Amino acid sequence: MKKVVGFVKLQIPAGQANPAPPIGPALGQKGVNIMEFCKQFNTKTQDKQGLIIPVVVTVYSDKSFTFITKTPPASVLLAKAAKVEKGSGEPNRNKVGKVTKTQLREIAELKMPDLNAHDVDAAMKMVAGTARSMGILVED
Amino acid sequence: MKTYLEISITATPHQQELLLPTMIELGCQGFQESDGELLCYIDKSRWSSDKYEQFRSDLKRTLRIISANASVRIKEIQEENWNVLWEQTIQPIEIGQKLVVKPSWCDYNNIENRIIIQIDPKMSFGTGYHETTRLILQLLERYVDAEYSILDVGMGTGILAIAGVKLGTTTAVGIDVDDWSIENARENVESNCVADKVAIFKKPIDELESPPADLITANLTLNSIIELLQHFRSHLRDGGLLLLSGLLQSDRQAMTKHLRDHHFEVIEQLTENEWIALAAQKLT
Repeated sequence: MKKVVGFVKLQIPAGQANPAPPIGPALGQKGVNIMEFCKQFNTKTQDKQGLIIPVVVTVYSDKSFTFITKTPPASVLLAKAAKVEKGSGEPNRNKVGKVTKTQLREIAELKMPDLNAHDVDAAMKMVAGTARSMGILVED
Repeated sequence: MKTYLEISITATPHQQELLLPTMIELGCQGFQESDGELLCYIDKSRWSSDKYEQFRSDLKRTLRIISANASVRIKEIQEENWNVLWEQTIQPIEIGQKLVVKPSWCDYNNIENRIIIQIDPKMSFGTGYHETTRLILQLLERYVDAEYSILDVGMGTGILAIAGVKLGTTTAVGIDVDDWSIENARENVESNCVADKVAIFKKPIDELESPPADLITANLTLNSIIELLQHFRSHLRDGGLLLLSGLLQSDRQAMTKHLRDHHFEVIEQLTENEWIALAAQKLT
């Protein structure tokens, strides 16, 4: 069994990986073939264009690697659904946008694999918490 | 050489999530999570004093929510060959019946009298270490003809154009839109002594003015191949061959349908692990 020598956690646009930072310096210093990672990442995320994809790269002692992609961050999905570019600086007082319960459920369902939630309702509560922190209202 | 800015912000994972939309809006193209810090990267040429002011004001507001103690550091990073460490590990690799790919610093005992392609890859794609390159090289080996002219779209290291010429074609044209690839392809074409037969252009295929090729190679991705199919068709002579790689087995159905829609007929498929390469012929 190959020995794991490190993990690299990146967030990069789907289908757009290239050797620019963070990928180049982060993987290069571990001796990983940067272009092979880019090729595989771009191929496997090309159907998610326009979204930021978190990816965890496991690097082995022989410089080989594996990676797993995760669902896009809830904050990015919420901003997209609410059609706002960023969250509020004062989320309690200034609301920057709103999402419907249906949109919240869709995001929660998408995020389910990466959330520590037993069911969609619990996942919705977690995503709603992020929406509150961003100053995004959830409408019924 | 490009310069990038690394903006590092101390933040917990939850705080990092809240920061992301702000940093994306400011133009950051990639992020790394490292020891309680979010590292955000942007091409310095896309940064400006206006952006810096917006960044300071946005961040001040965002940091007030996430943590009063968060600290921010900005440093410049100069572009360099970040693949140096990996390059030291590569060895000659035999591909198909006739080819071997090796870096300039490795010796190869050529007992089978293979055609040697010398590639020092730096930060370009196409070394023979990936299934997609091996598969398309094998197709090239089968279909290349001494009378052919080749067009390689997205040439990376230049490996396919160089292989085509070394396998006997009269000329090859290689195009790419990436600066690293163009520079690297030129170096590799020179070191393989085929500069008189391989023309390299930094431009997309829709801006290329050249006579129709006999054979086009493209090791890209499903979506980019689909987007380019109409241009492949217009840059290929009737009956010419299109060799495609960078496809997963799960892409086959979609790729075949799009090829059919553009009047190409798939004539061969090669498979290695989860990857496939296709040879298709342009129908009149």
